[in-house]
Amino acid sequence: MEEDTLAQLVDLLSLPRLLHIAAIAALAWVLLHLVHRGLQRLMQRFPRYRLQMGQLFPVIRILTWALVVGYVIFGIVRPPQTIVFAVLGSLGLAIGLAAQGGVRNLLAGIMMIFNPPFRVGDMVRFGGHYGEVTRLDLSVTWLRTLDDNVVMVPNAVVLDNAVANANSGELSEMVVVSIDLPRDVPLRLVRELALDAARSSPYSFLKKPITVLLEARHDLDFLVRVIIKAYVVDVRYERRLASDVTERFLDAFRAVQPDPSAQSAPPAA
Amino acid sequence: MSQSASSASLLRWLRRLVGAEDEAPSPTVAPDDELSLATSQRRARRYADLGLPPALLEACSDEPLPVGDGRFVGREKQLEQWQAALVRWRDGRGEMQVVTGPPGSGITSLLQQMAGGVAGGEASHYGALNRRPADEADAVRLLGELLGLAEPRESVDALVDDLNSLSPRVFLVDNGHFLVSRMFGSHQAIRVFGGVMLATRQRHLWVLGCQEHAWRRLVYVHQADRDFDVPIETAFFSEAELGRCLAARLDRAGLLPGDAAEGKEKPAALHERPLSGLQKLSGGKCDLATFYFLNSLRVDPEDGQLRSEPLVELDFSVLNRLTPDELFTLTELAAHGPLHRSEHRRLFRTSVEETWLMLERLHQACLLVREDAAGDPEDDPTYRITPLFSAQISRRLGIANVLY
Repeated sequence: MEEDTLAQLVDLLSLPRLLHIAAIAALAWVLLHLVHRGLQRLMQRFPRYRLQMGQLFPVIRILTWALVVGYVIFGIVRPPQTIVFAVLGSLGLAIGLAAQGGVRNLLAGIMMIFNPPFRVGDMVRFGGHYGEVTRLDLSVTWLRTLDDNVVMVPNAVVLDNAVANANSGELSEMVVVSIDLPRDVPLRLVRELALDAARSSPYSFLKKPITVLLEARHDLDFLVRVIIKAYVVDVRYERRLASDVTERFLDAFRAVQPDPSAQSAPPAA
Repeated sequence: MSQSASSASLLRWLRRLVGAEDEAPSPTVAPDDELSLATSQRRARRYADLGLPPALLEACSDEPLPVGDGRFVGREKQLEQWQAALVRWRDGRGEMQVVTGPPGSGITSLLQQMAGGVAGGEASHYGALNRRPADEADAVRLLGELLGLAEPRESVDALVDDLNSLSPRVFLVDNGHFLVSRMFGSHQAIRVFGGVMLATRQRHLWVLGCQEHAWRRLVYVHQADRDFDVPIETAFFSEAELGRCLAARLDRAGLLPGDAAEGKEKPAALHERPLSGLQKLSGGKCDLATFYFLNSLRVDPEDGQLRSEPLVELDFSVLNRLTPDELFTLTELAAHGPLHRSEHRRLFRTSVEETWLMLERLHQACLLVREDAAGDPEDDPTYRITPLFSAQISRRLGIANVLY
């Protein structure tokens, strides 16, 4: 019986069939490659819609490969029911045994495609890494950190751990800037300057509120911490906004404050 | 367009999409589709070369329309809103109105018609802002100048007292986008303008003309919509309105037969010039439609009659090749109006050279218009979005997610 099944299997996987399968797989790969490049170009051309477009590709890819597999099985190989059941049984066993490894990541990837905790383009933090999701593969997720490092995280790890998503599918994102100042600064002036610094940055998203908080701190000396919370117009400019607001605030603050070196200078003889 | 041309164009688009072909303008593009064609100097030269009648050029001028001008069409609903606001104000309800719309949609023309349409015996005063107030004191001074007060006032309180001692009148303040800027101190200036308007609204009717993105920012940051009545909006024209707009200009130029001028018959010139094509190319923006219209006219050398040729679409592919810094510069100009070179430098914290390069590059790409201040020793020219292209530029900035 087993020999019969094996002979049937060998017969089903004849060279012409294998070549046909290879051709279909190559065609699907080329098609997906073109779709991916096309979507990348569209995302560059229409940045406002890039998160939605980025979400499309994983779905298109899994559907394409599902169609290819379906066509190969039922259109090319056309195995008898006994073979189908035998292969399904083996596959079920393999999935059961390998659930701790690659298959687990694969299943996690499929779950993430249909119930995504984040999209391509979101800014997320997990596993000690923070950055933009650049690619969602079936088994791994790729992040580009603010230092331009590319980090690969297995999908099972993503699903098993807490994920902080800074923009949740939106293009704007809150950016928090903290600046420590000496304790004797005029607080109201500091607050006004901080608000103006955030409003005047070209990267801040004025549709959402800007908040300035002051906090008393002690670090070798008593300090006032200014916390500026503003939204950036696009997550890609997150660091630019933080740097720009800091620069504007410090410049404005120095312009209105007397020169500290003048204060500390010894009196003239 | 033939089927083969369509296929070629589709193939080119697909090749560009997958990156097999660059974004560079197609070599098959007609030579007269350059953006520089829309700059005032080249337009004047071209029209002179074509021999278009001076009366037609004068009738198609981009200048705001004065009160009672027959070319002012398509704003009946807005004028009704205005009359209703006047009635409410005369009934004693404190009113503040805003007229808002995209640049080039005729805000100034509408404000001038509104100023001329105050028929209840009250005086009206129209003033247009032409610079940004630097701080609170400057805002008080600027507002006094704008309202035609002979002497500058010392404080907001003095200004409010003086205004409340005047007989009731309508104040129309145009170019409100100058109030909204990202400069340090601009919020104090907005508070002065807003405070004076609120403190005198029971006596005077205030109307602010403000481009749509600047108005949105006033709403986002200062919740201005809570103090103003429902905005009077000037959208771009529908196809029918655009037809009336062009017919009025042809009529002004004396190129329409009597029946057509009265609207009973479709103008002959517009039979030849499909309105739908103009509407599609211009999006209902009157000055751009007029530009495409004039650009397609030719004077027949045999009989001297005006003939129309197919419309040639301008090539805006330059907008797809802008860097993020260029996009942000255009955004500031689109949202807050013209900028001096020095203002751009302060706003973007760049060096003199960087600012100069950035603005000149955009100027050379015909996306900005430069206005040199005559005799300005500091050589601080003003740059503004090229008015004809404002809608295309705003659309691109919106898609690039920098203008909202």
